[in-house]
Amino acid sequence: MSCPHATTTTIAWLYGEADEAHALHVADCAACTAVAEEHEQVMSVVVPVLPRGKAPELPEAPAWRSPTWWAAGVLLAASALLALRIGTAPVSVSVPEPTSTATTVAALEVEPASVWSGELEAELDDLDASIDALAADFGTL
Amino acid sequence: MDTEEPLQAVAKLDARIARHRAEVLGFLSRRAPVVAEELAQEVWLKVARAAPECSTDAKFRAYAFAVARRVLIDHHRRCRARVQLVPIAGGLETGRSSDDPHSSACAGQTLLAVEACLAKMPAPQAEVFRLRTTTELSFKEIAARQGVSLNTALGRMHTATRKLREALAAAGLTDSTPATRGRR
Ligand SMILES: [Zn+2]
Repeated sequence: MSCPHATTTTIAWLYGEADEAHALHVADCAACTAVAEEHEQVMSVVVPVLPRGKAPELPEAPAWRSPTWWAAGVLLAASALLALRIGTAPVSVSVPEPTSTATTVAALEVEPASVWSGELEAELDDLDASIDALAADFGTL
Repeated sequence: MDTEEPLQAVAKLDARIARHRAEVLGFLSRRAPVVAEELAQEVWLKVARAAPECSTDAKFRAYAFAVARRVLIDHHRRCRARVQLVPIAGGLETGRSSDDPHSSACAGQTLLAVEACLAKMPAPQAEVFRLRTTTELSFKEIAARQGVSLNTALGRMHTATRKLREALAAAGLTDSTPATRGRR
């Protein structure tokens, strides 16, 4: 009695980390049913007595990996490219102040689109407007 | 569109649920008496949502029990650390919450057996078990933390659980009632 899922997908499914549809396989497979029984039995006895643990701290991501810095880098690169396209010196742009990594990551998790559709697009719009104004100035010279 | 077929499927599912309702409730009542009704609702909700295509009634029954076990594991994890134990010289003692001396003594005995078994395991194996059962970390996060593949972390959980079951059985701490798997 063996099944390749008994030590992988079935374990993940039992803890809510696999597709619900895997239940059909478990129902049909003696090895996986035995594993499900085993886990339920152990959990029922062990979990109530094990003290609640605290998730260990993961090392903080280095500052250069902060999404704000990343967005700032993209913005500067975009400004350089746009400047090159119209043959002027790079236009200076203001970039958002880097915030703490944790705050930025949390904000990204809740609303991943906010950096792109919000600040970054506004900055790019401003940049385009500045470039258009500069281009117009060059035209009048 | 033929509406006869879906209606028939719903009626069939209803009939099957009705047929196994009492049996599943009985199973849940033995494992979690206080919340059995609530858990049964959860089981049937999951079953109704999935509307599994089981060719036979026996398969449907096995399916319902598989879901019931998953719901029970979720329940055990939600209720973790009901009895808080603190180490004292020469053993363990309940720190709070349980007024029943028998249950406190059992909990202390169980915790000693569990800790002894975890201490004998390779550290990464015991770590996967501890992290998955006492924190909110997922297997994926635990695997990343240990620098191993997801399947390795899952395998470690499996082996740790198996060893714990053997240790608990040897100490006479597990329920020895016959298995309730899907057979008639
Ligand atoms: Zn299987």
